[in-house]
Amino acid sequence: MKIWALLFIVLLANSCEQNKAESNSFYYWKTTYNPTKFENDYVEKHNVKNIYIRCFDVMYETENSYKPSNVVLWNQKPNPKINYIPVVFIDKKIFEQIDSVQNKELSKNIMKLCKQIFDSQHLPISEIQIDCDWAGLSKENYFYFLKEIKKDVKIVSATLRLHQYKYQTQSGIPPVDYCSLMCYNIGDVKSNNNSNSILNKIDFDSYTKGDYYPKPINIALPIYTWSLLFRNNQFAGILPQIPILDTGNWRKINGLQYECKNSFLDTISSRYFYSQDVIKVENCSKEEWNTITTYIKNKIKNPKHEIIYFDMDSASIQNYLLR
Amino acid sequence: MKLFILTWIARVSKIICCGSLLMIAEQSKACGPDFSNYYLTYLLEHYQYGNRFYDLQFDPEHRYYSKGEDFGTPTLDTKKYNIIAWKKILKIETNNQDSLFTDVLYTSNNSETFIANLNNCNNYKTAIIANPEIEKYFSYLYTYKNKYAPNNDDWDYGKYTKSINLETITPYCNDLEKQINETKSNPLQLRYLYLLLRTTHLNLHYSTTINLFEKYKKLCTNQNMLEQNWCEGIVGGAYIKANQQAQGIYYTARVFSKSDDQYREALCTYNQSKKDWQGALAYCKNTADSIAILLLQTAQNPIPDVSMVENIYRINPQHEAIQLLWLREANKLETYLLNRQNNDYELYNSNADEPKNMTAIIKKNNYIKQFVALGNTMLANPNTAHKATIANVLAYYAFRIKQYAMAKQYITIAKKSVPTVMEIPQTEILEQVITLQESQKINYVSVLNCLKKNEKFPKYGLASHINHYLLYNELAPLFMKNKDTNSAYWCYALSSALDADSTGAYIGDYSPEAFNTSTFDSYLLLHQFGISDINKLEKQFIAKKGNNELANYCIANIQFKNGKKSFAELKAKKYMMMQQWDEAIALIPQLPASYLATKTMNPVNVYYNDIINYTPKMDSLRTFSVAKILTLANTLKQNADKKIAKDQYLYGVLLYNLSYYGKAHNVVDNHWSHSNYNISSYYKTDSVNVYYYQNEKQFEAQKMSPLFYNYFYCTDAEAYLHKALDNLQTPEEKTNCLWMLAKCWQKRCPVKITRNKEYGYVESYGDYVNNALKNPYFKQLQTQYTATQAYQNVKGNCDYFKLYLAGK
Repeated sequence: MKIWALLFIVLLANSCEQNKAESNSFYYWKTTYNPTKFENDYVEKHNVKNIYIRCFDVMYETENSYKPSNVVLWNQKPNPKINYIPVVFIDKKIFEQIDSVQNKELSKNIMKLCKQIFDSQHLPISEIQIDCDWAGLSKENYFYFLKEIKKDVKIVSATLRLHQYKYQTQSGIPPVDYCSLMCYNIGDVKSNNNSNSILNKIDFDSYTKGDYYPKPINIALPIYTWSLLFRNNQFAGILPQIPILDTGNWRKINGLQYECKNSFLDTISSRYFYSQDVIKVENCSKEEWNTITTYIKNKIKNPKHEIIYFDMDSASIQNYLLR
Repeated sequence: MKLFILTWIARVSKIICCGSLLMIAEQSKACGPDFSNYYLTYLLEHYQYGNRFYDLQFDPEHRYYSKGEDFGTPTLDTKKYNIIAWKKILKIETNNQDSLFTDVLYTSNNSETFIANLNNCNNYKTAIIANPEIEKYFSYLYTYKNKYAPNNDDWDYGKYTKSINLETITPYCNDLEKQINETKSNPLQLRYLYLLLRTTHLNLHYSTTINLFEKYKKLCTNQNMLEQNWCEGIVGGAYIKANQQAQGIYYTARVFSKSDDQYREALCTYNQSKKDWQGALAYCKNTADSIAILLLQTAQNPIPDVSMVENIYRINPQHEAIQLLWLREANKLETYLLNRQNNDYELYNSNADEPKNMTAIIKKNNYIKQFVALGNTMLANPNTAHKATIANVLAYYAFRIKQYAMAKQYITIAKKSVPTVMEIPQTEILEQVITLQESQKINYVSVLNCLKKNEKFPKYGLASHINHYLLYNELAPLFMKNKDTNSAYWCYALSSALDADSTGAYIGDYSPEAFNTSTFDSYLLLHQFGISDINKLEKQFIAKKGNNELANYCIANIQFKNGKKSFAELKAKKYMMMQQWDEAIALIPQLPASYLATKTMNPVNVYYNDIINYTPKMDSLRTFSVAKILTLANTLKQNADKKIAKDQYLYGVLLYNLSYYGKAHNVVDNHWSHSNYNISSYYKTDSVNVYYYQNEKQFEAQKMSPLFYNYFYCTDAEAYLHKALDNLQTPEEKTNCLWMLAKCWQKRCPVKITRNKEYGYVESYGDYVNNALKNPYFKQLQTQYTATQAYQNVKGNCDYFKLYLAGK
C-alpha cells in the first residue's frame, strides 16, 4: 500500500513537473563553428538557451594511447547571448584499457584542451558534457573519470543512450549532475521496412517502460534526416548524400522507400545505383515528429526541462522546427 | 567424440567474482592470433611477431585495425632504422655508440648542443665534423625543430590553430632548396627534401608540398631508401589531404610495400583516405606498384573474397603477398563458416555499425568453389611459390569437412613442395591431427604420442595450440567421463598453461571477462575438490607421478607460480571460506610470500558504503595482513561461540567484510569484478567447455557450491549479527549492527531475471529496488535509532534507505 502511495506521489510530482516551461538548446556537432545566417537568426528569434558544442573526440589508438581528434575550430565569434557548453566524445575503448593514473591524466588533458578552446573565444566554462557509450567493461573507469573531471568543473553531465537508460543495473548510473537522454537512432537501421529508425514510438517504448532514472534528464531529440541504401534486400550503408529521388530513375514504394528502376550513375551523389536498389529516406512529417517528441517528453520522469536538438543545421531546422 | 564443439552461447552477463584461483600455471608470452577452446581453430596460424605480415593476419577480433595496434604488441622502433641509414651515410660500421647517438640526435635542441653532446660517441662526432655538408644538414634540421615544426602536443589547442603561414616559412624553404641543389649526396638531398616537405605539409600547405615534391621527385631513384620512403610517405599524405586521393594512395601503397619503418603509418594514412585504390592503379609504373596497391586494399578486408589473391597471382605467382592473403582467406572461411554450428557469423560494418551475415555471403557467392579452384590452379602451376601453404590450407579445409582422403592428398603435395620453416610444423601437425581423427583412436597414449612429437617445434606457437586443443577438448573430457578427475585436472591445468594467446594478458590474471578461455581446472579446484582431493593432487605434484603416463607428462611440464606452496594457499582459502580458522592458521608457514604480503582494510570496521576500488588512497588504508586476519577471526569466532555479544557482532562484520561485497574480500578471492550478478550460475558461464556441454543437464541441476554461499549471500554473517543485536551495549553499536544486518539481507533480495536478445540475462532494476525497500531491518533503524551518529551515516550513504524514508 505504501509503495502505491509512493508511486502516486512520484507520478503526481512528475505530472506537475511536466508543466514547467522548457528551454530549447542545440548540439553543434560540426568540426568548424561557422553557423549560417539562418542558424544565427533562428537562435536569436527562438530564445535558444544553450549550445552544446562538440569540442573534440578522444579516440583510442593503441594500448595506453589515445588522442583528441576533430578538434573544433572557430570560424565565427560565439554569440554572447548564448551559453556554450563543451561536449567531448570519448571512445569507450579507452576506458577498457586505462588505469587510474592515466584516467586522471585523461581528465586533466580534456579539461586543459576544453579550456584552451573556450579561452580562445573568451568563454568561461562552468559546465562540461561527456559523451561516451560506456558498457560493462568500461563502466568503472568511466565513472571514475567522471568523478575526476568533476573536480575541475562545477557541473558535469553525460549523454545517456536508451539502452543505458533501460538497463540501469547493468549500465550503472553515472556520477554526474544530470544526463542527456539521446532519443535517436532508436530503431533497427538495417530493417528495410516502413518504420523510421531515427525516431519511432514503438521502438522508443521498448526501451522505456516508465522506469525512474535517478538523475535529472534533459532530452536530446533528432532533427536530422538520412537515407539508407538496401541492396538485394540487405542493408548496404548510409548514403552520405541523398540522391534526387523525384526523377524517372526512381519509383516510390511507400512513404519512406524508393526503388531504382534501372541501373544508372547518379551524378549528384557520385554513386552508381543498381536496378532494384532501395533507398529509405528516414524523416517524418512535422505532425508525426511533434506527436512522437511530445510523447517522449511526457514519458521521461525526472526531467530537467531542456530539449537539445541534434544537431544545428539549417536544412534540419527548416525540416523539423519551422515547417 | 564430436570434433566440433557445440556453440558457445555468448552471454553479456559477464559476471562474477571467482574464488581462489591461485593455481595459475605459468606460461610465457606467445605470438599469434588468439586461440579459442571450442574449435580446432587457427591451425594455420602463421607469421610470428617481427614479420611485417604479422600485423596483417586475419583476426576476427581485430577486423578494423592492424593487429600491430593490438595491445601487447611492442611499438615499432622507427629510430633504429634512421640510425642504420645515418651509419650508411657516415660510413660507421661499429654498433657500440648507436644508442648514445640516438639519444643525442633525438634530444638535442640545436646544432651546437648536438655537436657538443656527441663527445661520448666519438665515431659519430668525427664522421660528422669531417664532412661539412653533413654538419650543415644538422644545422638545418635543428632550425626546423626550433622554428618551423608545428606544435606537436595533441592536447594543446595551438596545434590545431597555429600553423605557420607560408610567408614565414618561405625563406627557410628557399634555403633548403638551395641546399638540395648544392649537395652532392643523394641521401642528404632526400633528407633536405624531406625537411622541405615536412615544413610545408605539417604547416598545412598541402599544395606547396605537392609542387615541391613534383619538382624534386627526380631525386627519388626508385631504390628502397629510408629517405625516399619518408618523402613519398609525406607526399602521399599531402595528396590525400588535398583530396587528390588516387595519387596519395599510389605513394602510400609504395611506402606500405617498401618501408620497414613507415608501413604502419602508411596503413593509417590509407585508412583515412577514401580508398580509391582503382584510381591509384592508373599511376602505377610497374607490377610491384600494382601489387602494393592491391595488397594495401585487401590486407585489411574482412569480407571473404578470393579475387584479389587471384589478381596478384596473375601478376606474379611468386609474390609473398599471396601466402598472406591466402591464409587470410582460409581464416575467414574457418571463422565465418566452419566454426559455425547453428548460428551465422554476423560481422559489424564499421560505417553503419550494422551486421553483415558473413556465413550467408560465403554460401551465396559460391565462395568455397572459387577458393578451392584457385588453390588447385595455383598448385598446378610450377611457378607458384609457397605451395606448401596453399596445399596445407586445402588439406585443412578438406579435414574440416571430414574428407580425410582428400586432406591426405593435399598433405602429400605439401610434403613434395619445398616448405619453409613456417610451413614444416603446419604440415606435420596437420597430418597428425588428420590421422588421429580418422583413426578415432583418441586416448591418452595417442595424445601423449602427439605431445612428445611436437616437442621439437617452437613453444607457444602452432604446436602449443594443438596440444592445448587435444588436452582440453579431447582428452580431459574423456578422463572426466571415466571419473578420473585427477588426471582431468592435470590435463586442464597443462592446457591452460599452453593456451598460447597473442598477448598472454588474461591467462595470467584470470579476468572474468576472459573466463570462457580455459578455466575448467579452476572450476574443479574450487567446486569439485575437497581438501583431501587437493592433498592427493599435491602429493602427485611433489612426487611428479599421476595416475597414468599422460598425467605424469602434464605434471612434469606444469610450473605453478608458487610451486607446491600454491596448494597451501588454495587450502587456506578453502578453510577460510569454511570458517575453519585453526586449520588455516596451521598452514601459515607453508603459504607463499606473495599471499602473506596481501593487505586488506580493517575487517571488523563497519563501512557505510560498499565501494571497492584500488586507488592509492584506498590502498593506504589496507593495513591488515592475512596472518593478522586469521588470528583475529579465530579469536572472534571462539568468543562468538561463547555468546559474547560484542564478538558475535564483530565476527558478523568480519564475515561480511570477507564476502564478495566486503573491503577485505581480497584475502579469500584471487580475482574480483564489479560486474557481478547472476552469481549463482558462476560455473555455467565461466567454465564452459566440452565436458560442460556434454553434461549440461547435470550442471543445470547443481546448486551453488556451499563454499561460495556465504561469500555471495552473507547468511552466516547475518546469523551472528542477529545473535548479537539484543545484547549489544550502546545505541551506536546497535545501529551499526542493524545496518550490517540490512546489508546482509539485501544480498539475498529477490530480483527478477529475464532474458532478452540484446543483453542475455538481465535483472529488472525497478523490481530489485522495490524489493530492496522491503528490507525488514529498515523499519527498526528508522523507528529506534534516529538519534545516533551511525544512523546519520547510514542515511547519508544508502540510497535504498533514503528511498525507504521518502516512501514513509
